[in-house]
Amino acid sequence: MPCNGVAVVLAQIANVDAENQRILSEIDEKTLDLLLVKFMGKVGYELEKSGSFWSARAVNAGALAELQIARGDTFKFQINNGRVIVRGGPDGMQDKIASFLNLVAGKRRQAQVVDKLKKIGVKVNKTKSASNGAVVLSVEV
Amino acid sequence: MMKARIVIGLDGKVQMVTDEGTFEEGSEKLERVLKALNLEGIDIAMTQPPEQHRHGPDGEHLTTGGKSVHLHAA
Repeated sequence: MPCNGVAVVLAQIANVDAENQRILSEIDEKTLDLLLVKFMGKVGYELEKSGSFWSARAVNAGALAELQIARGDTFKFQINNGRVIVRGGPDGMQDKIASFLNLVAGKRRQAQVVDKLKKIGVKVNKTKSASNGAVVLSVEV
Repeated sequence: MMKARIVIGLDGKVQMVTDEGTFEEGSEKLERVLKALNLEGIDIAMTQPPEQHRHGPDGEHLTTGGKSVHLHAA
């Protein structure tokens, strides 16, 4: 069915890496701690915090099979200004946690953009999530 | 008001598409939205000029951006 006269604009938010760090550093510690415990629990680790360091202990060997962890394996990590520093973890763990942090920051950024769109007068009629994590809004501009 | 869709990626990519009106009206409205977001502190910029996206009589996508014309099957 023909649908002519449609305008498409592609845009990019600048400095996403730096923005992610800023967003993460603005999340209160308790909230970020809870998110980390939940995420690491899903991938098979129990966490314990001491000062600014987390100790992670593998409790489910199968959960992170691709990282070749064994039950009881431990490592430490720290989140510093939105960046993760892993000490002694399995290969790929640094990236795994960094990806999770980027996901948290990305979701918060999406929510901020939606709030700003509403603030500038864009009427948001419907919101849904795409399988790639994108937020899809049906709006009136 | 004009019906449109806005897709916000986790990586900061944003796609805005008007679903009605003319290309000129839609482009102008979407550019205005970007400017307003900038004024609200969102550092966002177009990555390419606005394009016109149409479906031809056989359902194929016709995309026109600036002087270039792309045709790709649906």
